[in-house]
Amino acid sequence: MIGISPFVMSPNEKAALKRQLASHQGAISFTVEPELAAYVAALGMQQEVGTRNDELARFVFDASSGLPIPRKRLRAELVRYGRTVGVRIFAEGEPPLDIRFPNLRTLTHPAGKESELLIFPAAVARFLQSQGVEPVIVIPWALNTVFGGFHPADGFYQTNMWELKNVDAIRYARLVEKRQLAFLGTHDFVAHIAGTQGEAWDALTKVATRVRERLEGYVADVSHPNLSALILPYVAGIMLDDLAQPPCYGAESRLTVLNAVLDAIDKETLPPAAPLQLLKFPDGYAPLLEMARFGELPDIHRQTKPRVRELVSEIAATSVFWQ
Amino acid sequence: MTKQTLTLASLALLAQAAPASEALNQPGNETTRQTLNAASVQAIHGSWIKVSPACKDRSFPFKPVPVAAAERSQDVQQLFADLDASVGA
Repeated sequence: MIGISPFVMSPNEKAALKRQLASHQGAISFTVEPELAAYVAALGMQQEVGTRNDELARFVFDASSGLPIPRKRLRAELVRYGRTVGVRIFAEGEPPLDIRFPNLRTLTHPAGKESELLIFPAAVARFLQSQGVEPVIVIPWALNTVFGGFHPADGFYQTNMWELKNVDAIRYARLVEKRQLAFLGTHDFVAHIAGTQGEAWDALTKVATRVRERLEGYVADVSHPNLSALILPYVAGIMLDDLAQPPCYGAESRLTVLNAVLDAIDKETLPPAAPLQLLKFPDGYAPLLEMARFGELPDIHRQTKPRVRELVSEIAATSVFWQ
Repeated sequence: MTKQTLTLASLALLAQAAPASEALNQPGNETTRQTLNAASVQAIHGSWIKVSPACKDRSFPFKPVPVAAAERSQDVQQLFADLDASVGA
């Protein structure tokens, strides 16, 4: 399409964009800084495409053969359109693409050919705003993903541990409570944005308030809470993240686990200020998450509380107190 | 410093004996927690990386589904028209 032109960002340009972003505090909204925000979101997606961090890849099929396109064949390039920046996603050989995820293709620019996805974060932001949701670039997250902590060959973002240490569940709950949504990469676009329904956010914001109040109360007055105390808040953050994904809006499975975890977060049980060292990431964590995400509802109702209790006991048993 | 292994019961005693909140962020306490957190991160690294990405954040546990060709709603068509207009296309 006339006016949409691909470009390659130089390392110097990337460093300049990082400096520009770092000159802001907290988060920037697409309303206040539309061009900067769109550039960062487009870059975040472009870097992830074809890597293990690409959340879009498994939904991309070859429309001719009906077969999934291996992620290593996926490509992305930044494109400029007027003053805004977007990303063009395509596959080697440019086969026609069949995107097997609802509500996603409609958010791509209609000028895109069948063999490509033209995504302009500025337009995506307008869609979210029409639903009463404000996309934002969360600066510490962008600095640790789009501009660092990212290596295409890594199994996953290194930031997971960073998010655990920094009680990012609180930051996330504050965003959701304010009807804000991070837009930094393919995860946000696919999992959170496609299919957004503003009315679902009315209930979601109330859940976010509960999470924020509980977690803020738990770590109040404690800088650098011990890691043992941060496992349950991390689980709570993940459940809230799931609930902010359109296919999971209001999901009883996640709400059940979230409520049990919030109930178990207690200064008397795992004191966040105590000088504790965690010796092992708890074995009970993954089964709890798997149950929440893939379990049957009757099992979830029956097993959640005992599993959360076991997780708390395991955290205590694998922590040591230094004095 | 000496270390002591814990149980839920001993943690409860510890919590009861915890210093008042104003003392929690005294430089000594804060430094100790930062040091212990760094040690914790090292200690749990091996068990953490074994946890499947499907059980961490940034995960999206949904499978591909066939999607019928969908028309863009009028609102969505309009926002692309606005984008085109803004660049004079």
